Amino acid sequence: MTKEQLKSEIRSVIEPYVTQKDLLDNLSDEVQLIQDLKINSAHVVDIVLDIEEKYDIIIDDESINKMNTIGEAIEVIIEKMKKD
Amino acid sequence: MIGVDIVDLTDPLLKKRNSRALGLISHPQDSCPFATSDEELFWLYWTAKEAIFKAYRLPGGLPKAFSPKSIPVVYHAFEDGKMWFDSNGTPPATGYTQPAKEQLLSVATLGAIASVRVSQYVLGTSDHSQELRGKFDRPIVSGQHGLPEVVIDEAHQPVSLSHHHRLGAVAWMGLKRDA
Repeated sequence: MTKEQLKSEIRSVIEPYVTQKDLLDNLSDEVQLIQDLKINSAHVVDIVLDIEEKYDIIIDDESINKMNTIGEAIEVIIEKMKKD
Repeated sequence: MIGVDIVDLTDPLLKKRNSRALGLISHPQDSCPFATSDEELFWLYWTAKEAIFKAYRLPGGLPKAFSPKSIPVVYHAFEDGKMWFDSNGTPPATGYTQPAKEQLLSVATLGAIASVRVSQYVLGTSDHSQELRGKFDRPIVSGQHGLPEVVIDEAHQPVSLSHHHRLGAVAWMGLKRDA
């Protein structure tokens, strides 16, 4: 799977939690999940659980703290998929 | 400083909080004798930790990314519908959670909890932040350090806002004469 394909899938995962859908246009790696996409912090755990289920991976605590942006989330998933 | 967090449990996007979810936010010192399930424990800890995190705010913004596992919460009393908690982090904080059937509201402060005032609202627009500020009956301004403050009788007091799904809350430090 390419990084662009993964980004497209991540977009699908987070889309339900983004109230202002126009914020999903032109999703760059630097976009922050909470500050830029205005995702309620209560849903960060939902997103982590969704990603774990979708990719059959376990995201450890250290990695969760690194998943502040779209790019960081993609990197964490790629890393975990390699290991698992 | 003061922090508030509200969770609307009717939000259909919230997944069930199981032991895995609880493990994502737990600190080794976390304790709550009043909950009987992982779901209850999760939300009690979550709202308390969010409120404490906001109460830790430093001039110029929040101290760092919210890391619930780094914030200990010890619930120690349940009186008059409020679950009281302490956090022996640095600096120590205290507060309470008001649980209800479909919502939880937590308030935390590094100061005197008796001075805390809270207002809660039902929200209906897509811009919860603006709607919440509009419904609150006092002006909220950006203070000299960039943190929100409420103006009460020309005095600027710390204030915290929270919104989730269809609910919003504002908590602020009242004036000493109001305590």
